[in-house]
Amino acid sequence: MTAKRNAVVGIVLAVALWPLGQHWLVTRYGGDPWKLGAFAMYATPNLPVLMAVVGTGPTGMAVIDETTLPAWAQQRLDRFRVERLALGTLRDPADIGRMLLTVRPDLTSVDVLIQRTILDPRTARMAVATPRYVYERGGPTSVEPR
Amino acid sequence: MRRDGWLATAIALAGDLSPDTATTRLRLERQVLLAWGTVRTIVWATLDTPLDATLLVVTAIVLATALALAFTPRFEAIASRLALPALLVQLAATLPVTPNHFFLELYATMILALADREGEDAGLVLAGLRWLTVIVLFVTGCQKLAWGHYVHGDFLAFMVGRGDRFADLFAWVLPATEIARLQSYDPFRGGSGPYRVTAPAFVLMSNAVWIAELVLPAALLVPRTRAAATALAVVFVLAVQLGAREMGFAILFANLLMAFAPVAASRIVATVSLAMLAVVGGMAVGVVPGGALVRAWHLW
Repeated sequence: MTAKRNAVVGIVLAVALWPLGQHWLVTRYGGDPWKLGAFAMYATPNLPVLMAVVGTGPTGMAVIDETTLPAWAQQRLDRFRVERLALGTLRDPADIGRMLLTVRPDLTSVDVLIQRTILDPRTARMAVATPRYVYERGGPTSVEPR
Repeated sequence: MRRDGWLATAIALAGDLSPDTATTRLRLERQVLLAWGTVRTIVWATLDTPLDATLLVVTAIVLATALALAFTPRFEAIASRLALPALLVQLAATLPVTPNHFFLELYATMILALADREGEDAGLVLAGLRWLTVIVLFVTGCQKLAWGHYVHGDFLAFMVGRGDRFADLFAWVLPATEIARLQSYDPFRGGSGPYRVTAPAFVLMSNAVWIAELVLPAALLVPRTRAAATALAVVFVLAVQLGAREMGFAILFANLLMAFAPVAASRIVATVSLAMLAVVGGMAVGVVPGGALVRAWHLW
């Protein structure tokens, strides 16, 4: 009985306290408040992340048309968008940068630009943050956003 | 010793005086919860989800088996224990984008898995379910306050601007010019807005949402206000969730709230819920017309 009581109390306490941890994670890393089981759905807008990938090759820079990529690569980009929205900067795009350099051997570098859009509670206006990650062929696999 | 006293008080606060009633309540909760999980998995399998089809079929079979056991007096106590591994597999497959509905289902199943066949722990398990319900409702209100978009009605104004289904519940009190202004903003452009309106009725409704989510849980725990709070909470959840067209969550949460209601009422709501879930499951697999409804309404 005591073990079961402790188990019930443990589950209930975890449900009660986890939202504090999730709130910290979301505000720290810019994830989606609606996710990770803390019941913040409909508390704030959760707009999808916008993403653009720009490749630099022998003829200069150009936006990579995702529809020209293999289907599996497009699926990974779609999956990345979903995971990035949920986890914020905890979901690093390094594997996406490496993947694009693999499927596009003509490129010397790839820029991954990601826009996160939030509603600012002070002004009630939209605010955007657009970190840019640059992956160079032969360069470090993990980079800091610019 | 002091901790034991504190825990006993907390359990008693949400407890049930009659063990027989508690056992009946748990039976109804278990049946609806497992039916909900089975139908949810069927809906996931029939929609264009990125999840592995084999995983969904196998977990649907496990959940359906657990559901069948929940209707047999001899094995009902192990039904939730059987379902738990299937839910944990689904959790692993859906993280980090797992819907909150699923977490609620998982937490409730974990608590129900602690019930034994003899019913000795029924009061404890029922108290756990009630606390879960109260905490989730309270947390949703706290989250709305913490994010700061409800006091001035900004979130609902944003939803009106997006033409979201959820806003239909609230937009009718706004002048057409205000709706047109909110809808003229590009939400992806920095500086767009303000998503703020001055219509007092709109701001009042926005504040009523989080206030209800903070007050109703407390009223559910007080015996004198429990019956009224249960009825109000069911109406509130149905109104908000039907407005959001999240019928799946409405069924799930209304049944969790039934842990506070008289057993006769719980039985009626459980029967209606099971019938609705059977229809939705039938729609999802195509044996009942209305498959488009499953897609149009955000069931899961």
